[in-house]
Amino acid sequence: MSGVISYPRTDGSDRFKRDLERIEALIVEIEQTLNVENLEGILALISLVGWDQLPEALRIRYLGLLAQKSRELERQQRSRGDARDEAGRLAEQKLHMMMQQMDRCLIAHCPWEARRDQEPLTVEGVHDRIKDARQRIDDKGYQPLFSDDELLALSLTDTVAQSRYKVRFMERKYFGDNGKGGFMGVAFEGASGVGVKYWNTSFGQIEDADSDYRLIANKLGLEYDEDREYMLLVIDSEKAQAVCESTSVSATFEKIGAFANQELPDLYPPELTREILSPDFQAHYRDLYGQAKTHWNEKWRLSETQFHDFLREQNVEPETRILLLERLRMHMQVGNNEYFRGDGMTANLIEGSQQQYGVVELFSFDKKKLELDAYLRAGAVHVAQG
Amino acid sequence: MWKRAERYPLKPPLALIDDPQSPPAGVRLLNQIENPQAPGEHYLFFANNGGLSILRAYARPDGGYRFEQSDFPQRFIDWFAPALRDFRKPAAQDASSRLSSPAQEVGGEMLTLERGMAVGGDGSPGYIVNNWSRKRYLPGLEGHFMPMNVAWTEDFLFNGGLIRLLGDIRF
Repeated sequence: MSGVISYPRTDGSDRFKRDLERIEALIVEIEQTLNVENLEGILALISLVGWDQLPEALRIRYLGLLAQKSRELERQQRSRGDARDEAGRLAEQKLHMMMQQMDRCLIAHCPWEARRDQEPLTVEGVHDRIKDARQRIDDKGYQPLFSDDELLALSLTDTVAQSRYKVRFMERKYFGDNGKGGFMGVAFEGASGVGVKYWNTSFGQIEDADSDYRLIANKLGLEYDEDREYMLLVIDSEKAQAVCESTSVSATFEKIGAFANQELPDLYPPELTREILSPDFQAHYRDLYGQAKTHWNEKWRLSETQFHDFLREQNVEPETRILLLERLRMHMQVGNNEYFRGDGMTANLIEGSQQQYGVVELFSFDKKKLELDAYLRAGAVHVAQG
Repeated sequence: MWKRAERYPLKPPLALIDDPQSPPAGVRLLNQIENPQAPGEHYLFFANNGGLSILRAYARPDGGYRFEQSDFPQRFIDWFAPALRDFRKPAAQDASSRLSSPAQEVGGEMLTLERGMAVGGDGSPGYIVNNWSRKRYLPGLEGHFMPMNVAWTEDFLFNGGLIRLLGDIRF
């Protein structure tokens, strides 16, 4: 009697999964050897097949890998100084056009929630994503891209600080005459005081607000004033480095402390920053610094001697005086003033939104104060059209 | 309890200038300037027994003036502008800090040039020179080392005439 051996039938999903894993492994492997022509070929082939024929996860993965590779190639071109000759300039233009194409594909073929961690590759991509956000808000209303928990988690990383495209939101009057007489990071009147800080974060943090200045202001913890004219600047942080070196750090006690430990270890060792960068000490500093400023009738800043004189009059213990004086020095040097919250977040003031936090906020450090005009001429700063 | 120790041997203090109108022996006024960004704040530069004393003068709440003295070597005057020019250039890849120069020996004293993001108050950046060879004496804080320093905004330096004035100083 002949036997029949039967096997359970499958729907082929295991095979499909294995195939996908194999494709991904191969892509990662060949990604190492890709050049501009390969990228162009891949993009052309997928376009022929049709991006929408691919499963969503694969579209995002492929575009992510291609984006990463094109960024790497762009850096290689820059470090080689390719733009110095005609052939190099053409190669740069070609790569830039491909990156624009990838940006368009990402918008056209990936849902916005899925692409939130994928930065635009070009400034044109930033503008397109702002337009896309406008359409989405018109259709569905404001929807935050990140929850409070996700924002908190992001503030503990360097993701926002290291993003390529940053934004600064400010009143138009600080822009000067098309950048002449205008500055990055002009002090601003905000919810937590006058001239406290400027608002600086990554494009990804405000993408969901498009260029609606009321939404952006409220996301940054600012009351929107209809009588004021605002503007949003998009900063290409890599190009800006060529104009003026700059570093960004999440505005948390931990990140600011680590930055100070690393940059100025003789002034701010960890034993000190542990003491002076905490919510309780910050409240103490805010209280005494404010009183001392009133005492001295100072509008600008207090010196060590002025603050010390005041603290002695208030019978503050020597040990605490030392810490307060060091905190004052840090205020002058790092810029974390008496209103510094240390949680790395702005308060969310968007009406109807249940979220507590707006965006992950950054502190920026640069070596010299330059007029915006210098950044505009270098193509490092772009005005987002509202 | 954390306290900062000296990094370098300290220099003997220069003569204290209590009254700029009648300075002690060996002290001579070289030049002075008012900070246009902070009206009422004056800087006075003195030759002080072979050194340089920089006095920041400002009004006391109860009347009169308060003077803060920071001492430097006389070579500070020739060193500062070129050092600042170098500091403002992009740092070398292997630079240990983006906010501070390495300590440099200037006229036998150890100085650092540093960036300050709120030197003139919030949103008003500038530069700080710390003198690690001279201690700021504050009553009751003797066991803690705070370097003498000057902190000037970019606006004061470049638009307020301070760089020009420093270039004009002759001993």
